[in-house]
Amino acid sequence: MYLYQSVIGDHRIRFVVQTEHLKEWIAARFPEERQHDGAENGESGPLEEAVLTIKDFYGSMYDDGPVEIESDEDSVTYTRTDYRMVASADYSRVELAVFDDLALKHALINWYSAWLIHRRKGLLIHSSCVVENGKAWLFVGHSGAGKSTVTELSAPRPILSDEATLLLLGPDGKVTIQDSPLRSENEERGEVSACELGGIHFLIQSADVRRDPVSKVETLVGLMDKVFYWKHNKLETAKMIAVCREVVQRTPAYNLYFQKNDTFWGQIS
Amino acid sequence: MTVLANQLLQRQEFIETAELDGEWVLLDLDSHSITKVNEMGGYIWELMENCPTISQLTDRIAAEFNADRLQVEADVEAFVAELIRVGLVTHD
Repeated sequence: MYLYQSVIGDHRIRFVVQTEHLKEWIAARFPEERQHDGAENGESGPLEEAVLTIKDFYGSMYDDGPVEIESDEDSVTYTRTDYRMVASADYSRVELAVFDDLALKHALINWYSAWLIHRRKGLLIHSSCVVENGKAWLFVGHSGAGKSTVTELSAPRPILSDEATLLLLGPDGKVTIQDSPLRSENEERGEVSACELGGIHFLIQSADVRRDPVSKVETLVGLMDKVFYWKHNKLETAKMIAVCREVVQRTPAYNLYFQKNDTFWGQIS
Repeated sequence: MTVLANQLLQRQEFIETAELDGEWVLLDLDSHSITKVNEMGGYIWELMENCPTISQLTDRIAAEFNADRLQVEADVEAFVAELIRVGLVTHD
């Protein structure tokens, strides 16, 4: 078994993995804990911790089937043809067996979002996120709306995510976007590790370039639709909604009409 | 007086409500359906807990807003009928 520890925001993830390949995959994506990350988290006490045990050689290639979820008092089990994941009821202890890298990424997105939502500390959102003027700007849209186009057009601005944005709620209610360890392209880690969220943009491809404010309720509905969350429990669903509401209350949101070029940045301050 | 007027209305269990900038959403935790209502709709949803009939809702709102009772009753009934249609409220 190989061990690897990562610290992101206010939490630590301990990976216990079966093969060197798995360890390399994790190490390329999750920032390794540095010595001064230590056991304490500034004034807010010890780091929250999760332990993931990951094994290889499970199942068969993904067949487009759904994730099956079963839960009882002690655990939640997620099953797909290419992975099986058993999490403790608080999501802090996980046994995961995967077929390949695609399965590993999907399972980790699934678990990570569930663990954050369970503690109301954040969530993962199907979106891309780019830094400009010291703020993180989130881009959401349906498949093909331009989330990855936006990141391609945004060079040399730092990219925090291109698929699964990692959003954390601070104790002061501040909304922070962490550099996402789970990406689709450009899988190397970005040069900015975290940034406060400046705004949410719903992408609409258009002949003109402009942005219009979106009401809080529309933003809530639009955001909830993009959270990585597989429903299985009403309490967890209510927590997911509560986290989204916190984010929406603190964050301006816009419909961004854009052409496939970088002029849209002129609309974003 | 209509058929619904004195029937006991029951709000569906497991509905999460959120009020943001004067708009409300009613979120069904079972089906994940989302219903948007305006401020008055959110107010009626809240009132329904203690005023579970159209008559009681009408009395309360007509008094509070000093409005015509017949008009209020027609509006409340139309709104409640819509809530019943989308499955957020049941009646006996």
